[in-house]
Amino acid sequence: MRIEPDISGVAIVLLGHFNPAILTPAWFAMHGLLSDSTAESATLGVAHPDVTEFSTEWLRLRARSDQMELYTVQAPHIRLRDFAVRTFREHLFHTPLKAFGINRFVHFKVRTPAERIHIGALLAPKSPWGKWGQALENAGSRGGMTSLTMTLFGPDDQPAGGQVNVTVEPSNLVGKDGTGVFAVVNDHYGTNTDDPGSAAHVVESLEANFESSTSHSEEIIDHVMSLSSA
Amino acid sequence: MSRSTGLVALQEWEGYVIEIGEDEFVSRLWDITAGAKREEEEATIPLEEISEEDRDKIRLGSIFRWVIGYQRSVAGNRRRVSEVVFRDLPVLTQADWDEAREWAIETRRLLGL
Repeated sequence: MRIEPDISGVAIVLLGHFNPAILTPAWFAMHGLLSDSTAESATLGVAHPDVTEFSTEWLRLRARSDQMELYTVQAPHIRLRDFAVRTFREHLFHTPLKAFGINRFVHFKVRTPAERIHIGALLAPKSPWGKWGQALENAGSRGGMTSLTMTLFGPDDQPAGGQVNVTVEPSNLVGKDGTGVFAVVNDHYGTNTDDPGSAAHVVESLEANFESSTSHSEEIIDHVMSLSSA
Repeated sequence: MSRSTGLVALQEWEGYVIEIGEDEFVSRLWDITAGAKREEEEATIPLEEISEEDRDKIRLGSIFRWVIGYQRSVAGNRRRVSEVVFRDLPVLTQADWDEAREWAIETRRLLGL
């Protein structure tokens, strides 16, 4: 990417039916999915039948009964994919999974607040908004885009039920002087929930598509970055 | 996750081990950042660069990622980092082997071999 992000990561979000109570660092270590030292040094937020959350040096896991999120801001991101694939292929293969998303996100800083305003102005011009747009224009830095999402339903290179959502907004973590930008590409893959082999299909799709998805997402994010000097 | 906001990769290679010495190992690499699909370079990496927990994973053919990038602290300090991470790839299951065998048999049949 043309601007080095301050924070750069990936999240894999799986939808299905989970048992959060078992998804502790110790369970993952017992099954060889995390090393003993990683599990022992993990920070366990909560382990409960309804929700489990823990973090290690490179992984944050949050699980509810209907959703599991795996999150990392530590390169190499492929490690997250390997972890998810091994978990559901080698151990939790009976877990009903119905969909997953690969979310590639960054927080980056542009050089000046004016550059960030310029990105917002290009993505969401004020002139089509008539009088309201004029009010926004007159308000200067107090008026403009605060969040924008663009969605592509049914991307050509995905099975039915997929969609790609791209969101751009000011960052709440970096560049609090008005220079921080957050961009995330949510690449969502649906699957046939009636298929008893759905876990295997989801895992296979995750394994096959992770790198192309993140690569494509990085192209989109890089383009957003280019708008700062467009 | 810690006092760091993470490791942002500037450059990333994938590689595999072709030779293991007493203090280092030799690997073949391809440049992930540049989109390379096959190995283009060789590198010798000191074993001391590998974390304790990854040393057990070093075998001939073991696959790893080598990342060079910046690690930022929560306070905003930035330092250049080089990290080698051995991949924990999914094992091949008996079902994988069976499927591959069936595919091979069918392919031979179709080719008249």
